Amino acid sequence: MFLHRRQFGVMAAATLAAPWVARAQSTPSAALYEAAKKEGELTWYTVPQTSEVAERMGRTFTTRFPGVKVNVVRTTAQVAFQRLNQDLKAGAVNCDVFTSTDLSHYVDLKGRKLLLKHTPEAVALQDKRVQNMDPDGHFHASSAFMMGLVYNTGKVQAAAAPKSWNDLLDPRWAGAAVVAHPAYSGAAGAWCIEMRKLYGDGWIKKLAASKVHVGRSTIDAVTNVISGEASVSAGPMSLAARSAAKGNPVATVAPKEGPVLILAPSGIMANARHPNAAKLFMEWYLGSEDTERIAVEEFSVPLRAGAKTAPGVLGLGDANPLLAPTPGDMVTEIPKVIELWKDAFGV
Amino acid sequence: MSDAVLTSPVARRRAPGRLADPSVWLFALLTLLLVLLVANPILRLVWDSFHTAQGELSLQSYVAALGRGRHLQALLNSLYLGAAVTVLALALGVPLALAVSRTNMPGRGFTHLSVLAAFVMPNFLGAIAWILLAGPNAGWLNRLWIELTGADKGPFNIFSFWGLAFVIALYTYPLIYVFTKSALDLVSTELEDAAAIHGAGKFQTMARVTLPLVLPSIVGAAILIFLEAIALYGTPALIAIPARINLATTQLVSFFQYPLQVEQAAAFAMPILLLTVVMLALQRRLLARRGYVSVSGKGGERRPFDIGAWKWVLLAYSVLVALLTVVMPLIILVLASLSKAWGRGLAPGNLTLANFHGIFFEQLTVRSALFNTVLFSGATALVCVAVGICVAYATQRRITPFPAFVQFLAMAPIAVPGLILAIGLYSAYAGPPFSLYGTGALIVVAFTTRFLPISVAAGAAGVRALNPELEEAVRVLGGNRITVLTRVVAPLLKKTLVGAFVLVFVICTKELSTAVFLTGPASRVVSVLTLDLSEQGNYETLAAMGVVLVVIVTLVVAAGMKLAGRDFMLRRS
Repeated sequence: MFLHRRQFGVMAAATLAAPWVARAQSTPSAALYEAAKKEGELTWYTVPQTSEVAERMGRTFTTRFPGVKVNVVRTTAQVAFQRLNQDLKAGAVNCDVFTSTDLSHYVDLKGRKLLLKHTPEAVALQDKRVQNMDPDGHFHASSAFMMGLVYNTGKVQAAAAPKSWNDLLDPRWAGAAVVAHPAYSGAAGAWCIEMRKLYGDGWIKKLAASKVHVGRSTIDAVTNVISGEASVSAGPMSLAARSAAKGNPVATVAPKEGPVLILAPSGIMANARHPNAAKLFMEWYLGSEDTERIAVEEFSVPLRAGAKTAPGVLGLGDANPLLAPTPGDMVTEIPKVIELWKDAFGV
Repeated sequence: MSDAVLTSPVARRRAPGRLADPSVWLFALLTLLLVLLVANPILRLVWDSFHTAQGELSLQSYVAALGRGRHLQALLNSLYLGAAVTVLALALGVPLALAVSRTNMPGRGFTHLSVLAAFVMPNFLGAIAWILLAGPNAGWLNRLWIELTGADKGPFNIFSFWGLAFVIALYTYPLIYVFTKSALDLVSTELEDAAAIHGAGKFQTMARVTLPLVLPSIVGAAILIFLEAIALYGTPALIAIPARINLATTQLVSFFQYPLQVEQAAAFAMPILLLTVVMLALQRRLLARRGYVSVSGKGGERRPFDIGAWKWVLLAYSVLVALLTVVMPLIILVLASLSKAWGRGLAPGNLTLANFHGIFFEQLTVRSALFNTVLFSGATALVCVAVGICVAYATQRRITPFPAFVQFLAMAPIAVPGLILAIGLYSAYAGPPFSLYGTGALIVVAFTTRFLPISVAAGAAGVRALNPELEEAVRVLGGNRITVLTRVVAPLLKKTLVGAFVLVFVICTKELSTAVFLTGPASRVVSVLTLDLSEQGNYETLAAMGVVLVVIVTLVVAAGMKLAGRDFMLRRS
């Protein structure tokens, strides 16, 4: 079934595949692999992928490194962080590698000395723009996608599709737009911060007044558009493009104010039970052909230096303007936008 | 049997004193276990609510949790929701119970079965089915409506207060049905005949005699529905968040968001806990009233009412309820599980088995969650039945000291809403010295604590029906209490025990709120995974997982019906 699910994306990507073979790839040392094999498994709390893709990544990793299993736990950013803190409070160290979309969580974890200071060799192979996310090396950029406008092509003509973030308030979409809740989704949190910068505090209130449908994950913002439950949404352009390639009636628009870049970091927990498996996984996640291939197939933004995106997908340097909240922004602003949101939406 | 007892080694050993009887120790251990299992989490919760995170005595948590308008609004919304659900569930359950118990409506067996099916259906699964059916823009019912009438918008919106209340009522009303029907089954026709002789018409008789007789049971069930509705988390997470309704349970969960505020959660839980205890006390008083003498035992002649043409109206209503609760949701789930994209409907090229292939062979978490659900539910049911019969026996035969207290302990978890119990269990067992967090054992402990009352109640009813003579015979012949329990009581109550096992099993497979804070990566169950996957709106996979769960549970229930009789699930215990 993989074959027909991949069809379009793979064929598009295949034309670009040739250069990869020659390019450098991080090859973890045999000693690290041996040590990881002794641990046998790792648990990966992850947010930026759908659960299907996250599980596929886990399986691909195990195929590449037999004997090291990946337990995948996929939720939204705030739920993942809630579980992580619940774990920590209970003294149960479940998570080895923590991948999320809310940068502020990493700043917080680092401040509480809960992240392992470790820089995978694979970081050197990444695009210079995403290296050094944390100067001290506690967490590193591991995947990226853009939040843009997404619409249902069966319900909305391309010419009539929203072009600006502000178009979401257009009465045409009253009751037919969908967004995600920042108290659940990290990407929605980043998006809210940028919307607030663009349009001020009142914008979220106006959004609430225009009867948008509120999901928990930005992924839901795409599935709702595909199902026709909503006509337009603010959602991950990568997932929308991927779904379009599978034949679903959905298309994306990069808003004129710029898409919002969601950079998802990964870090190893300081008290991880499977530190070597976690390090091996980080090498693979940040610097392997597998993950680059999956990123391209999933129409997200590959982070390895020189990587080509799938046709039509904006790469790191392609979007201008580009909205990208900094870790500092996320730390101070996320709680504020969540409060604004809850006051505006009542929930 | 007495031969076997006589020759058994236990029988030959003469017990020199009461303390040498191993059963005394067993029952003492049991009492201790109950204290640990039940009192520990509840007391922890109360203690937490009066302390800061640093362990200092303070009312600060109450101020923080209850001092905000938004939080109080959530409590208020839950009360409204509870009332709305109760009204709807009454409208669903009472007519069906009347129809099946007291009238000559055709298809009574079918109606009874459809109520059982609604009871078996997990609430969260019903919610997902109804999102697919009545989503305001893409819901299949709305699209059908648009197709038929040419309107540009359908009339249904599941993401609304009444949509939410409706879905919850659809899967809680069986409780009303069970209580009402059990009471109606005991009403003899003589009183109704008396009314008829004095010139009352059929409806007057029904309204002035039959219904008032069973009113305490109906009100008692209504209270339980109200409490269940305010304690529910799964359906609210799926529907109330998009509908922008903040409820007590969604608010409780948000206390668990970072920074983790267990103390505030505990404080916020206290008013709900108090309300539950008060309402349950009220319910017990209502049901314990002996004023309605005619309901106290079977007797007299029972004839179904001949209600003439009205029976067709009632039948139509029963069919409608079956359609709404079970038939339509199951059809939509099966269709969605076979679709590539549910929003495209029954289109050519939209059919696929990939979702089932996916959950069994690709999404390993789904497979393990299904496995865990069956395993934990089975283990819980086993433990509940074993502990339940021991507690029931020990308290009914007054073996332990303070039998009333032990019984109270075992039944106390009924008064604690699932999510609140989960917070208590998290405080009590997650950290050292137990460190059970993330293990399957904690889920079994949690489920056992929550559902023990069911098996204790079932066991107590069974033991009460046994004549102690049989047990005394064993004792006279030198057997101890354990021999009595394993060789006499358990075999005699086989059907009751099997019934309790299946009942607890089914309820465990549906349980979300207790599990949501306690599962780890290795111990996720279907309900929690449904909540996780539903964030992504991936209803095709969810539907496939739901269909598999429904098939498993149906098989277990069918086996139970074969072993314990057709009616075992829908008896009031």
